[in-house]
Amino acid sequence: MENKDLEIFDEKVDRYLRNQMTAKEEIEFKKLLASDAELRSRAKTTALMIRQMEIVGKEKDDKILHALKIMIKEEFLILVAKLSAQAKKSDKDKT
Amino acid sequence: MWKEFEVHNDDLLSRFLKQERSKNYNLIRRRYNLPKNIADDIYQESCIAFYNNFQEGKLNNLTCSLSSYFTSICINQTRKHLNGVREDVDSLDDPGFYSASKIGELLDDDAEWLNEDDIKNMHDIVAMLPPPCEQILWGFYRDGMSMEEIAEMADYRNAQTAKAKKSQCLSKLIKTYKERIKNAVYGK
Repeated sequence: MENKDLEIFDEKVDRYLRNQMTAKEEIEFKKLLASDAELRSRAKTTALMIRQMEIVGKEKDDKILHALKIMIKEEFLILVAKLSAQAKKSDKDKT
Repeated sequence: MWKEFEVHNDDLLSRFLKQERSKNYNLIRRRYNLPKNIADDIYQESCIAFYNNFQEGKLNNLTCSLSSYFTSICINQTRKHLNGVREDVDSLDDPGFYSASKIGELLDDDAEWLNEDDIKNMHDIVAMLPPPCEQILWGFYRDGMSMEEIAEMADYRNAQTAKAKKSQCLSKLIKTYKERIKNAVYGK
């Protein structure tokens, strides 16, 4: 399948998983999945990726919130200043 | 094939703030045509607002990801800077949440296709995505960014370029996933 066709298919999968398809579009989409094993596999793997991103993302966010909870404001300000200085230096080195 | 993520000494919060800087710095600079020093100031102000909001309990019951929330703070801070007034954006334009039942329809009707090892493999893959696919796939599928926003963040020419890159990243991820499953089946 051409890259452009994959982009269009990925958009369809996205609209399906966000429940944004019309009933007619959904029937067409399911027919397409039933007739093409490769596309079916791509759609299923995308769905699995999204489900796992929700889980991994939630785990990461919880850890970040915990880190924020135990950090006093002065420490946080020092961290932000340090990261900004590092980023500015890195930007300067790139140019 | 993905390379294993390098383990840094930085803690998770530092890594999060670094990622948010790299994500939002380009986004606000391109969208609002800001000079570098102003974008830097806005990033720092956004970090402080993020911390203050957390301490005030505003992050309790957050429905979006922390990254989406941070981006909405950056946009609010930028508008405040440009207009001199606060113009709250609760979050990025809502692209619509993924439907758990639609995901379930695709996955759960095929128990043979999906076992615990498959789930663990995908868990590990999404946790270790390398850049730029990490930014693009997480930005789109988890943080609800549009293609225009991803193009601004990653400094791509336009949304179409970002869309092409997203599909390439997805193909790469699927290939990695299939290889892992194949290796597990044949015990390599």
